[in-house]
Amino acid sequence: MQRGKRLFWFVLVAFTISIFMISTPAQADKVLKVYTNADINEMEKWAPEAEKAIGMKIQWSPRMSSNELWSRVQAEAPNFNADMIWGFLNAHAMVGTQRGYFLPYKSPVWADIPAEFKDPAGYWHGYNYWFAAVVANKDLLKKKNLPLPKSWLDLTNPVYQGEIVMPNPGTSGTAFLSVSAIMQIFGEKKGWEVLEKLNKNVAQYTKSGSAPSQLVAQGEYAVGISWDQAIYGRVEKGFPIEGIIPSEGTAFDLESVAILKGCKNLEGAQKLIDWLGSKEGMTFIGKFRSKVTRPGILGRVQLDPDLIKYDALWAGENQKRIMSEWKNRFQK
Amino acid sequence: MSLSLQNSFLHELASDTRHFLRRPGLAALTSVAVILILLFIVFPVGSVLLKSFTVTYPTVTVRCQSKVSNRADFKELVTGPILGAIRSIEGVEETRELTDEESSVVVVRFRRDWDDLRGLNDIKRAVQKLQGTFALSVENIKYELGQETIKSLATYGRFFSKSYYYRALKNSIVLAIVTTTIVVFVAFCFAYLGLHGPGFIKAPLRVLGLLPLIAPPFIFALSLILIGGRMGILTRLLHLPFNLYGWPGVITAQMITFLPLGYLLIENVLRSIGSHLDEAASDMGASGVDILFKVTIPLSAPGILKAALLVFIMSIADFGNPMLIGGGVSFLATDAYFLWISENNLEMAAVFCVFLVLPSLIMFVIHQYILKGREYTTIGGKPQQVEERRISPKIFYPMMAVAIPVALMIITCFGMILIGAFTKILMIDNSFTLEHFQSTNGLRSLLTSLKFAFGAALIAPIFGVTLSYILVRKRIPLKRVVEFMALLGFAVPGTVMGIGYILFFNSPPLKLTGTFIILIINEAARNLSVSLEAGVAKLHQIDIAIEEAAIDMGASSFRTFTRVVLPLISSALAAGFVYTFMVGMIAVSAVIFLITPGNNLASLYILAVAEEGFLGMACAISVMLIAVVMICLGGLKLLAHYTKTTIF
Amino acid sequence: MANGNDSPVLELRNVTKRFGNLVAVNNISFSLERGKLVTFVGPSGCGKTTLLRTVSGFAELDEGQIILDGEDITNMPPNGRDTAMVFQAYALFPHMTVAHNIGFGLRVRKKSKPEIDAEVERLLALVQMDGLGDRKPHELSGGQQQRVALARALSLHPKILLLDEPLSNLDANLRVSMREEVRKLQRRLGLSVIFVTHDQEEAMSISDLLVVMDHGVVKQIGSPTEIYEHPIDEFVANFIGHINFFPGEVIDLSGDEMTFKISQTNLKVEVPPFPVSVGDRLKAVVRPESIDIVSAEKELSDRENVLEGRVEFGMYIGSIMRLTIAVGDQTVYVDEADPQHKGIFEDGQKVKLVLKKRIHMLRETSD
Ligand SMILES: Nc1ncnc2c1ncn2[C@@H]1O[C@H](COP(=O)(O)OP(=O)(O)OP(=O)(O)O)[C@@H](O)[C@H]1O
Ligand SMILES: [Mg+2]
Repeated sequence: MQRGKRLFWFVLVAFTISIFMISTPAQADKVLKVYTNADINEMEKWAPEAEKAIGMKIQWSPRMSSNELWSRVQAEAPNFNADMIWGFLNAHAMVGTQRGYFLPYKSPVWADIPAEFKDPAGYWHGYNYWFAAVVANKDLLKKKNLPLPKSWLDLTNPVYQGEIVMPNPGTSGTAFLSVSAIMQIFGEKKGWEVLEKLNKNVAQYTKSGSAPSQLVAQGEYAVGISWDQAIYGRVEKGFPIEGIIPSEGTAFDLESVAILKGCKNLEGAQKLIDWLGSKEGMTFIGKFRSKVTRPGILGRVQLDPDLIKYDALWAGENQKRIMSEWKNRFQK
Repeated sequence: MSLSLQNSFLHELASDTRHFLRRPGLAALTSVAVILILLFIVFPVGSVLLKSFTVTYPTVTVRCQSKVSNRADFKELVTGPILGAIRSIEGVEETRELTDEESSVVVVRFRRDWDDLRGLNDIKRAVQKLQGTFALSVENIKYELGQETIKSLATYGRFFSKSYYYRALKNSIVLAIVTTTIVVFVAFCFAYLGLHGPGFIKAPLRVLGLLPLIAPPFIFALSLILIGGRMGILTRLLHLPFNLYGWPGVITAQMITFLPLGYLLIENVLRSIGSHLDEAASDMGASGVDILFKVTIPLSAPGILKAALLVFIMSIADFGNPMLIGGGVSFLATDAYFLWISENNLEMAAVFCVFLVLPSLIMFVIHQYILKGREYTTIGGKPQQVEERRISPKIFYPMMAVAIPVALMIITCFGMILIGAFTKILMIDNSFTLEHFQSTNGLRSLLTSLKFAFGAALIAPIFGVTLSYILVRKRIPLKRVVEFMALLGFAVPGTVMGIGYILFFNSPPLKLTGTFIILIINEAARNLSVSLEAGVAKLHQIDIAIEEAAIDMGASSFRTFTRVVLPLISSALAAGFVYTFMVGMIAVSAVIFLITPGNNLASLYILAVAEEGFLGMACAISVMLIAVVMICLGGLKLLAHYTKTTIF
Repeated sequence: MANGNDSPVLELRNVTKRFGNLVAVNNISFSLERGKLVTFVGPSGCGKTTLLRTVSGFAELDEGQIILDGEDITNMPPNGRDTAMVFQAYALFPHMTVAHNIGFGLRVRKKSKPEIDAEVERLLALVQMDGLGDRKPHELSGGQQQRVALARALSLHPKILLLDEPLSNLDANLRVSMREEVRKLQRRLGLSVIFVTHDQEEAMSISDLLVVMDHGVVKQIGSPTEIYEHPIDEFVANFIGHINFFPGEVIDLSGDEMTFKISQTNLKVEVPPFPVSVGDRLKAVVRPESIDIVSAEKELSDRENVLEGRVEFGMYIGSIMRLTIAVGDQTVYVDEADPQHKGIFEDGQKVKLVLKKRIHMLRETSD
């Protein structure tokens, strides 16, 4: 009866099952699930290298912006869907430690890394740091006859109206870093005035901190606020852009890793932290990031940016407040 | 009057229930189905609703252990000073003491938008200062961060007090109305010309009217950016002073995205009108224009209205287009997502969801219970063969003026995606490249998408068609309610289902977030209604006597279902399969909330890369996605042909 | 088969079925003898199908009992009952071949394959469908589908066969020949059958027993002759065949003869088999074919029971001529057999009508 129809459904079901079979890794090899705010193109290179080092498969989250990642983690607490966070804001690391999201791990490999780059109790480890910077498209500036901005204050110049793209501090760690840098440089009251004027010039707020670099590189906008490697990576690729460290100084953030409570692959997570702190790991990451935290290992950028004494604790303590104020003022 | 109505309702309910309980097999099957529907559709949506009526505050709890034996003064000595010190701290809204014999406990509630870390440190500093005064009586001070959720309408209050919240509602509704109007208008032109137009225009319009179906919905936004974005081809070449970001872009992208839906429904109703009425009208001296406005349009009104309602629901729920080309204009579906990801503000996101659900639900109810069946009363019978008829120039040229630009736009959009995929950086470095295709993660996500879409495409039709059988053929209590709950998955926008799933499935024992299966279940639940409706339609075509004949021959209900009913409605199963598969491959809105490491979907990956500005890679993965969908559909078609099964 | 052959195969006891407020079957009792064919007739919506479905089990009873071959099956689900139904639209399984359709019930009973094949062959031969077992239902003509449905129903040797207007989808000629076949088959196999139709001719020609229904109740049960010749009321009389009513009064009674006055004419007729007295108002029920008609000029030897009238119009049907005749202010229908040889009456022609002495009488009801 109805042999044809039966065959049809049989083939369909068999095909579906076989797709499941081939793409689901065998139970035997362990998987390390990580959340990350690293860019897609970075992670596509980092993950395979780390897999080699720890001898396990790594599954990484869909690319998330810093705040998106943190929102997910908060929403999931205390039943996290990943084993660890590989790459998130130091301010969030501090909050998470206080809320008891993490498992401590005192890695022997990290013993000789300065104390300022890790939590005393081992709840988080900072393996590199990055900073907010301004990016400008030289060709476009020339064509539009605009000066090269040199400082945060320059960005508030009305000539740039509609030419600036910056990430949304609601989602992007880069943007939040920039905003808190401005707060810390100018003081809160003056800081808001600067942001008011900057807002008038901004044409678009993007979700991620890297997008402004890409958009400026493609010539969609003349000036953007982004972060170091998103800019310098594209400079090296030959885009007509230039990275600018604002003359007032800029803030850096310590890129951190932490093991989430309920981690199902503690061994893998600890191995990853060990590798990130090791010479090899730091050297590898140094090929992508401006500065790493192991003394004696160089990052990509030798220049010493004019870093302000950025207070990550302040950022962790005031993020919600600053953000709701920001939303009140600037949300269109 | 109402009392007797109520009585007869209760009476019927009671008799239905008695009948139902006497059939253990049916009762068990139905119960399982209802439990699944409740679990995977109703409760998640309900938990969004509940969430919207709450506010969550950060709290800090200070706990001091008593050291002294004389505990009478403990409260006075310790709790009092702590409360005093805390009250003046910024951001504190309320303090509570839970002091008992053993310890002094103070709970401090902060403002909703206050940072708990700051509150904690402020309290620590304040208590530290007191340390000297009660050091003798206190041992071991502990601080705990926590949350307090309170039932409140405050979130709704805030929604209406801040323009950046309620504007999203206004925008979404305006967008839906504008898009709906345009889609209906354009779709009507496409359908009319496709049926009555001259031969050379018919086939192309028919194909183009349906082509957008096979594309991920946001690729039109993507290609519109390539065409009319700030660096778009047109913007560049023509030095346009404006670009498509914002309203024009979203409306255009939505128009193309939802054209097939409008086209299918309107074409169907136009086809069913048949030519004899037109002929009768023209026989009585009506001109072509008269016929169009006095016969054709009034007769097709129910179908047009139905199309309009569905497009309205889709437009409000649309996620990808506003996300990519919205240019910062706020819309409900995307803003609910941003509220969640950028502020972890689930309460406000829930309020957004409520306003997202309301219009859709109203439209859905109108569609389901008021319009349904209407079109059959005005226009009976089967679709009829439409005869070639000369179309009046007064109709032809205006309609062509609408249809041709849109048709060209659709072609261009597909072309742009193809060009974009093989070009380094469009308009900056126009050299040919294959590098965009070399994304390991993109390929992996394609495989995940396949897995996801096939999984959902197996579950949804099996469940939907079985349910349709129960609903159509069996006597069960509260049938309409069960049906409505099952259809809810479709009526409720994806954003709401996504947030609902996060809320409902995040804690044990129903901890399912983070698994792959929850993605599949979510997708199946959202598309259940299509299979359900297909099953219902098919069952209505099958004489119930055929099933009775089987039972009369001694077959059990189960055997009747598997041996007689299933083979007969397998085309509904197949249609449900194909549909669920197609929408699964391009799903965005609900699943974006549910993906976790290791199960990223291609459609979401495209969105993510596009957002980071890698348009080339986004195009390339889109091209691969479309190719995979076409290959699969082709394979299905071949298989169906080979096994002589009807699937469409 | 514990019961002897003389006990009824089916017995309905006070069967009632309601749909909401509508009583579709109202307190019906009735029994069917083994090997007989009973037909339910009645106007559309009178509850015939519903009654059948209570027997097959598809409609649950509200009240009453159904006994099949001595066994109370009132609460037995349809798939457990030893009944088989042939549906109006045949309800063949469209996705199965003819052979599979016929063998379905046997497969349900888990019979072995050779057994099933043999039985299917036998049934195909029985309904004269040999060699068509591999066809699909849509490849068959209406009559062939009908045969398959019948064969399928017979496959399980049901205690009773239920046929719901099985012939109504066939064209006129096929209907006649199929009904003959059904009757022959029923006789040959000694089947107990309930047949539902609203075609009275079909009902008359095929049945051992007729059950006339109206509004959910049984009006009359009897053999075709009984029902035709002695309908118990106007409804039954009207429903089965054409009929003339002559209301009138008994004005004289003498022995087994009485004088019955209708309008101006006095009829001399036999006394009906129920007590009457002078002054009773009755209704004479006369079938059109039992009235003789002659032209007015013709002299009659017997002048009793003659009505004079005028032909309003005549309808030539071939085997008969149906004439509408005005008698006073009453219209009378008369069927004249063999018009070919008796000559045709013209419209307007004056005629005489002769009634028989034995006339079926009904008491005039008050409504
Ligand atoms: N499922 C039902 N629900 C409600 N009313 C019903 C149902 N089935 C039948 N009826 C009603 O019961 C009455 C009897 O219906 P039934 O089908 O038995 O009539 P019938 O004698 O078979 O008529 P027909 O000759 O037209 O087939 C009708 O008034 C009908 O409308
Ligand atoms: Mg009937």
